[in-house]
Amino acid sequence: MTAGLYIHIPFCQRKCFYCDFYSIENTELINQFVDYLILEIQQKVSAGKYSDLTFDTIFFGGGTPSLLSGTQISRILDPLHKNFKILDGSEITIECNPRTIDKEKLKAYQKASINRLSIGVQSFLDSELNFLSRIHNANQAKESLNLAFESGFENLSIDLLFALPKQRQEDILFSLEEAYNFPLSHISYYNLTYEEETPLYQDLENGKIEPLSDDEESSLYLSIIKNLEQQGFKQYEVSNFSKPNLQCKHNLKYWTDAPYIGFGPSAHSYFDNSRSKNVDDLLIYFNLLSKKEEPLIFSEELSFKDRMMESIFLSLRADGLVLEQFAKEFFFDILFELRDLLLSLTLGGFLSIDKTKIKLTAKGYSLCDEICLRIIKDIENKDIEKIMRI
Amino acid sequence: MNNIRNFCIIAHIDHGKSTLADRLLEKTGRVSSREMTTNQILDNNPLEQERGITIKLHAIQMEYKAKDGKDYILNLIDTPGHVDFSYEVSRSLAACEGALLIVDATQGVEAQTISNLYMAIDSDLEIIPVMNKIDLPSAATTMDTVKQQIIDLIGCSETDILSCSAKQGIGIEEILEEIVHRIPPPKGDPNAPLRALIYDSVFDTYRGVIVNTRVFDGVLKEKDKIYFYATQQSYEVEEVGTMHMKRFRTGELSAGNVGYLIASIRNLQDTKVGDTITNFNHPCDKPIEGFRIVKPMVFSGIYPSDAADFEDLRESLAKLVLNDSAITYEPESSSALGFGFRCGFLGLLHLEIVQERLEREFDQNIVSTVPNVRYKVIKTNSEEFFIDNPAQLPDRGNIAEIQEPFIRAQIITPDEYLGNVMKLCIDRRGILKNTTYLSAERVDVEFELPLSEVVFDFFDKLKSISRGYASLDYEFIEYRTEDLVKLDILLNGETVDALSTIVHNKKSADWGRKLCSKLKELIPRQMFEVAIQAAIGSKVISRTNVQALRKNVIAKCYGGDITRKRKLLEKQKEGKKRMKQIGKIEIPQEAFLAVLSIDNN
Repeated sequence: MTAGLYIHIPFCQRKCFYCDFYSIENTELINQFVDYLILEIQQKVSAGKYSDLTFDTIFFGGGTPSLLSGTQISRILDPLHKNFKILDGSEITIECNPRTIDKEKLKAYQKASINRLSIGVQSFLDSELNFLSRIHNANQAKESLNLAFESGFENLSIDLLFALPKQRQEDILFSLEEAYNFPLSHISYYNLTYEEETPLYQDLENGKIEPLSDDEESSLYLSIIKNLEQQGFKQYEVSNFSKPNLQCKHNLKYWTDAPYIGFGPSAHSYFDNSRSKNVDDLLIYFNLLSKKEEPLIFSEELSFKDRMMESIFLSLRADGLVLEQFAKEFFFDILFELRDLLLSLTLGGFLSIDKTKIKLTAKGYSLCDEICLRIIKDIENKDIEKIMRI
Repeated sequence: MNNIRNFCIIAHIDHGKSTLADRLLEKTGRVSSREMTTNQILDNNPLEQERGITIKLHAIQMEYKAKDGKDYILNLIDTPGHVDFSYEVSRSLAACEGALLIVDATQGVEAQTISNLYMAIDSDLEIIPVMNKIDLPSAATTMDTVKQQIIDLIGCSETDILSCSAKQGIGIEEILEEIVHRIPPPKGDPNAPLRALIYDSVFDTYRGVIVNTRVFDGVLKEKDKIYFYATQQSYEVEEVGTMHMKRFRTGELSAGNVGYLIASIRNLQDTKVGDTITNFNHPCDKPIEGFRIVKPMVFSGIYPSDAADFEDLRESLAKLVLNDSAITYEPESSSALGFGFRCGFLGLLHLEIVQERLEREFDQNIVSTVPNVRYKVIKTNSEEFFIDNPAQLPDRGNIAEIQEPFIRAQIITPDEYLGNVMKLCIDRRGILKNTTYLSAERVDVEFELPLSEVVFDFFDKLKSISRGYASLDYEFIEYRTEDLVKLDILLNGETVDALSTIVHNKKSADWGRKLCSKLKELIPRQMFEVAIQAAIGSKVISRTNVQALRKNVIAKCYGGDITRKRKLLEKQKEGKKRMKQIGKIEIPQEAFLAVLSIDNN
């Protein structure tokens, strides 16, 4: 299975008040950060662990990766290309904030072999962008999309957010209509979540904002799915939609058990049945690398049970659980063993089952966790230890 | 025998029984004040200390040199402090010649005290009234009223009433002196055949059952062959002694004395409280009167919340019964809850204690069903039988009568709450039998009530409508025919047997409605809509539903942080594990006790 490379760029011009990804506003450290990132790449190369892997995706995430210049991006990509087996025509994505890109920068990115942009639009309504404390407005978002297209990026994705307080059906439809004016290949439509330790969460706790009810969120979500499907954007994960064959190959790796290696603070890796995470503090990250230590904060070996649970909730939140693959890996005929549950979920309109796959419907995606839990619980009730001994 | 005094202490919860006992032990040198680190040596079970009640009985022998210069042996026999255990109280009273009646100088006499006091008077015990907590500032204003209550109650003169503060150690010596002078020495014939009373027993892992006994006639000696009347078992005595702070082996115990015996008895069930011990070879002519087999009054299904833990639960119950022979348990199965046990208890407190012990001491995660009483069913074909689970009730068409146990309740309340108490009892189908003013402000009310109406939240309600002042005691009187029906709960059309209850017909509609809305509160929204119905037979009397859940998905699963997502799901899964799955529906454990949290009024 081909693998993915992830590079976390932990800088933002200004941190958005709902975001809990790791980033800092001190952009003066960027150059130094790139030096250390290269150090981490060299460290991982000399460990030799990944020499058998072949990569076909690279993803710059953040933070705001588009704060980096084309030169800085090239400085990072060069040692990657030199030391890892990266296939020709690999998908190379960078996340961009509309306010941080211009023609020159995009040209430089292209030159550095980036071929996919994921632009953090979030909404085409200024009132919503304002609420989200974004550094850009709707016009700037549109300009950046035009710019990207004019610069020749054909694989273009945007991020949108729903379930903002007081958000109505027509607000969603407005943003979608605006989006359809651009030749997008991909849309990620995320549900706003209230993450602890964000100012948004504080506001919620203090009663300053009133969240939508689950029912309201669910109706917005279902109408988003419907509207996107009508425009030819097929849902391939809880929050992700694409034109045919233009799914984000990198994100697919997370849900299909493919290995991925992360660089930069707070980046995650999955390789050889183990998951790990880098420290989410830039200075500690620097410090550990200077001492030639791995900048890890956490790693775990997955047990049989962990893998089985992950396999269920990752495949179901994405393109579906492949029956034969699951049976082979976990010695468990899910279609036979859980026939009652699966039948009632199918009759309830949550699932579709064909000969090869169990896949959630739109209604099912809205209850993805609930359904996964029911399936996992039922499997555990079948006595997993017994299954393992077979 | 003339220098032995056997006595007990009668007191209401919190009136200071255990503290006074501690002081007596200290004063007689049985414990040094240094050893009094954990307050209240008698109540040594953590549950007892927490709840301020005595569950297991203890007896302690003290030696006291009185002012007349003679040495006396004082046996303090403890009594349990709750209405669930009134038979046990009667048996420990039977082992005594006298009783200290402890009354809180600021609170006055309570129902529990009165019923135990009457039992003591019936057993011809010499009563020594003692007012405790006289050091409290508020006692100055209440003391005279309380004194008058005591005088009215036992017909003593004012000078007979002692005063003390167990907490401060005031008046302890006077109490000891009065015990020696007023309580008569035991009567009995040391040369007659052995006749001894079992008033309590405890199980010891190494020694088997340790029987606490009072010898009335004859001598109990080691190596004697003894015989238990009620259980018809015989044993050879291994060890005999008296109880100091620990067991104190004496080799024999003669008429008038109180102590313990060990005889390789394996099961607590073989030593029935109230049974008579005699010598196998030279038996006495008749047993001590008053023996009764204790029957459970309240029943509840106890199920493992994970079906796989059934055997664990069985073992735990078996161990628990080693220490508490009043519990009964029999395997039963419920279509909703799977395999579990129908357990019988002396009363609600007893039930709560057992549930708590199962969870705390035995680490069992249990689901218990709503407690119910034992009903007597008379079928149209005149067949009669008892059921202790509403689900066992036959079809309505086959039932001629359903009878339920009635109790006589004695409630003592300040008269300002009399109206509230009356209303509560009448709401609970009570029949007023008598009211007596104990003093200008305190009323003794007697009601006959169905036990089923008392087992729920009656006691808590009584406390709350009287600001904690009313007290309750009750005893079983008889089974009476009432217009009772089985109320079933259906979830999505399927009867959930564990939620069935037997209720009075005239209350059924209201009850059904409240139960449905309570269940709606307790059952979380899930993938499928849950229709809740209450029905009597095939007639649905109330319905409501829990709307289907529409959203449960964490949108974020990006940047490859799968571990966090998995842990979040694990957590949700743990929550789900605590729910019982019935068909497609997940029901939280609390739902099975929903009836208990319904506001009855």
